[in-house]
Amino acid sequence: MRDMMASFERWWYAIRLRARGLFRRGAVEREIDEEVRFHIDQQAAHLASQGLTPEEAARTAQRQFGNTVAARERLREVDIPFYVDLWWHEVRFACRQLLRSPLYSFVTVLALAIGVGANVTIFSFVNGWLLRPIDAREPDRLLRIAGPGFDSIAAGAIDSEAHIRPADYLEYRDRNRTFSAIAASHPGGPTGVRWRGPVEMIPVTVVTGNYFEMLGISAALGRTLTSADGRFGAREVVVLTDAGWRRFFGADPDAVGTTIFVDGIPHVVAGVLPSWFTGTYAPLVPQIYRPIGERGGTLAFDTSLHLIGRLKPGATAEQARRDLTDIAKELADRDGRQRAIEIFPARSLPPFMLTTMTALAAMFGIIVVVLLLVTCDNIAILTTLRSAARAREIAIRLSLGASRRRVLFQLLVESAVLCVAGGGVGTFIAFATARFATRFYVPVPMPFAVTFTPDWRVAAFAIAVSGLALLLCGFMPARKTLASDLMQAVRRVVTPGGVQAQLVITQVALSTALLVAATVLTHSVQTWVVEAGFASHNVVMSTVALGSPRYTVERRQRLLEDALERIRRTPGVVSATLVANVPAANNAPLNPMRLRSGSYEQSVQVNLASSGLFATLGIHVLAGRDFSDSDRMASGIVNEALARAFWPGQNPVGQTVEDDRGARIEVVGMVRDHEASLAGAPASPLLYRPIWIDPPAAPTFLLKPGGDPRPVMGLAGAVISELDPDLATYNVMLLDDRLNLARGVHRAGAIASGAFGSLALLLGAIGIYGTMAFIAQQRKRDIALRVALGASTREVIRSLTGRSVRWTATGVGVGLALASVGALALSRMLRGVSPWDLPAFAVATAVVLAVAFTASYMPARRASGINPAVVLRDGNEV
Amino acid sequence: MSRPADFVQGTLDLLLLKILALEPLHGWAISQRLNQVSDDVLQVSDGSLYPALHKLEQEGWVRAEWRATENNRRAKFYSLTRPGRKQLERETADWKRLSSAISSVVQLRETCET
Repeated sequence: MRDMMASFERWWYAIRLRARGLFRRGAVEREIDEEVRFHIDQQAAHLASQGLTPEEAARTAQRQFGNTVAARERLREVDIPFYVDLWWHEVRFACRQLLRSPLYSFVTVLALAIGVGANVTIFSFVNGWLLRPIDAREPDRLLRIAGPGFDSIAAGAIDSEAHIRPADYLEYRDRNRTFSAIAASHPGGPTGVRWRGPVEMIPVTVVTGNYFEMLGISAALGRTLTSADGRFGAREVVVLTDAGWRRFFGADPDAVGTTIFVDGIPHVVAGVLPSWFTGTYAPLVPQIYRPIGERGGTLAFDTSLHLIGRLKPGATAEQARRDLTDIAKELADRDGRQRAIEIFPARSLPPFMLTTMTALAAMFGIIVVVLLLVTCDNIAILTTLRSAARAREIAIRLSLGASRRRVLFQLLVESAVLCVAGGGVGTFIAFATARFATRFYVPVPMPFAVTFTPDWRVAAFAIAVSGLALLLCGFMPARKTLASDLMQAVRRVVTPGGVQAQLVITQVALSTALLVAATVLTHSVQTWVVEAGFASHNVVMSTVALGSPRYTVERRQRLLEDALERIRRTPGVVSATLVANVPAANNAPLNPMRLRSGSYEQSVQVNLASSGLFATLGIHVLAGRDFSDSDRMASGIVNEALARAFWPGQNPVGQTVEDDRGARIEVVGMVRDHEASLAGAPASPLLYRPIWIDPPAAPTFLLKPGGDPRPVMGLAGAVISELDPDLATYNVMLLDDRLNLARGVHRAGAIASGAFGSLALLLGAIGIYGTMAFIAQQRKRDIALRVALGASTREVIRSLTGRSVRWTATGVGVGLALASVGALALSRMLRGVSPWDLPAFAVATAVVLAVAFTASYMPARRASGINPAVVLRDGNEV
Repeated sequence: MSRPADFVQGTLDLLLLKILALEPLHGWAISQRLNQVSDDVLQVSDGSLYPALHKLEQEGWVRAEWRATENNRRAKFYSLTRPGRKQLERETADWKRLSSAISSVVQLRETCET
């Protein structure tokens, strides 16, 4: 025991001593001086006591001690950990070296900042969207449960088996053996909420009573929902998020217990959620939660649900998947409808956005990684050039006895200093970009919140990227430098050899590939914008929320007919219509339906519309007619795709189809295919039915004004509140604005990739310019001789640029090949991207060639203007 | 003919630990003591005395502290720690083994010569 204590004390003392050497070098050095001085004084005193004069004693003592400077140095070596000293010295030396060539340092740090910044930016988005866990207790025990085709809304092809029906949810919830709880929710459409002020349209997210308990969220004020809420006879309650609480009650703590009106029905505020809880619909943040009513074994909810379950202790995701799949099979046996189950780790991003976001993230991930490669390549070029210019210095250091390892170490320290600086600036840029990007106003009905808090993952990523850059751009040039011949270097004959050519070619190739990809993307987005498939210009949209239980089908019909009639009679309105799902805006999910005609059967999308839709949107009616206001159940209008699928080569008008209940629908017209989804997919079969058969809870009025749309913007809202003061409209905007918003993601993607392409081009230009400038510098003597012997400017330029023309040509060739592969991959990921977009290829190639030519011409041009007399007299080092 | 000090260099640690085992001393006193006890045979240069002392301190065998001398000057006094005492025992044992081995080798040579 005493021994242990003693050895612990020993280590502790030693550690403290070393720490002192590390952090208090000044004090340690002073003590060394004092100790040495004490020794000499003591010896002098000793000698004086033996009879020497004080002066003699002092001199002798000094002589006996020997070289005090050397002694102090040896003591420093013992007391101050050597590596600190070494590192510190090397870093200072590196900084001095870098400051000596400010242009090189500046360009390198800038390039690194671009490369690292782009990567960290993309990663923080991925981190904030794709990797962020749900705000919940033990989020890694949570699973999202979805039907197959969970991403179908994003993909634009909705399948009847895509979502989990409320009745199925109850089966999964009650019969599974692997979850301690499964809760369901739906983000909900905008609903009229009123408290003191006028009605406000905000989305009310509906959740099952066990939702918060399953997540493990407790209320900041009052209580959350419980399984008892929503049961028959229970009081209607809502729970507010922090944002909703601030919006409606100005953060008044007395809000709990207050009554607010949702859809005109009184609800009691049961509690307020903690401010850090952002819900399970990232990037959207709900404001109000309402329990889904459960009465007599059924849910009072008729749309598909999103499920999240918490695994029982010890259960695995795979067990859960098998468990639920078994239940799904039993259900299929019972009613003949096939079901399947998909299980995902519960991230805050819901599964229906996952595929699109992952594809985008993958795309940008690849782009920024290529950009980083371009950056490293660029720095490698500049560093090799610089090392070649420094070869003499290095050769002298080597011949003076510096070990190769030491020189290599020193070169790497220089790269490390650059990488730290570049990485730091890049990370700063990334955070600034992310912050700026999140401040964009997005006109969606729910508040939009993306978390870009720079957490440890982003920091680790930034460090890893910078480290990778260090390896790529530090090591290769350093090794190359050391491999060069000593004697040649001393004689100043150093040429950037094969490695340099490879680097420049790589640079040109990658820049070309990136630029082509960027151009293809940008070009495709323009195509989408042009080919919306109908005339959306000046059309005004307004959605009305009729979800309240006060509105039965009959009441909805009456109200909507009245409203449409009044709107159509208003002067300045050329045409008006009512539609369930606005084409290309996809504001409401379409209901799929299985149709049969003869032996042919297919699932198609069904949209509901009143008369006038095709006139309002300028969609050609190719055969038959538009709906009339007296059309009811039996009539339908199809698009070309449906007609092609069901009756190839025949006139669809007059044909009939049967729906899955056997009801007959007569086709009264056929319209031109128009874009039903944004991803640029070929039109899928689409059936329009009269909206009056079952008016949806959130139909949209579309108005086409004669001229300026502004006077009729508020028209639908005014008409609706005239008919019922408890109703209000939302989504009141120009259809163009709405479509632009929906295209926003793609457009932002195209802009970003364009920006990345330009950055790559800039880096490529720097690389070519640097190389050419260096070659011109190296061959100055040679050029001077030629000029002196009568060579013309043009000849000199030609001889200089010849090499770079070959490099550029090779690089562009390789780049185009890469770009073809890339474009092919892009066209797989994003529909509407053509892999053989020749104009885009041509434009990008032309830009690269122009930039490369300029970058190689300028140094050559400058070199040709030298004064041969001066150069030949002074040597080539000017 | 090399001076004995060169040979002693490697065992300097042992000598310093031994001297400090008796009482805490400052550097100058240690060098004096070394000269005294070895009748000036083991003359350790001051340039190597101090680095050796500092190494022992880094190892934790000795501990240093600044104290006033009898003449009231600040000096760095070295004292043996408990692990240092253990180390002294080990090195003493090693030394005894080594010296007996060497002396037997030396004696072997003498018998062959005679």
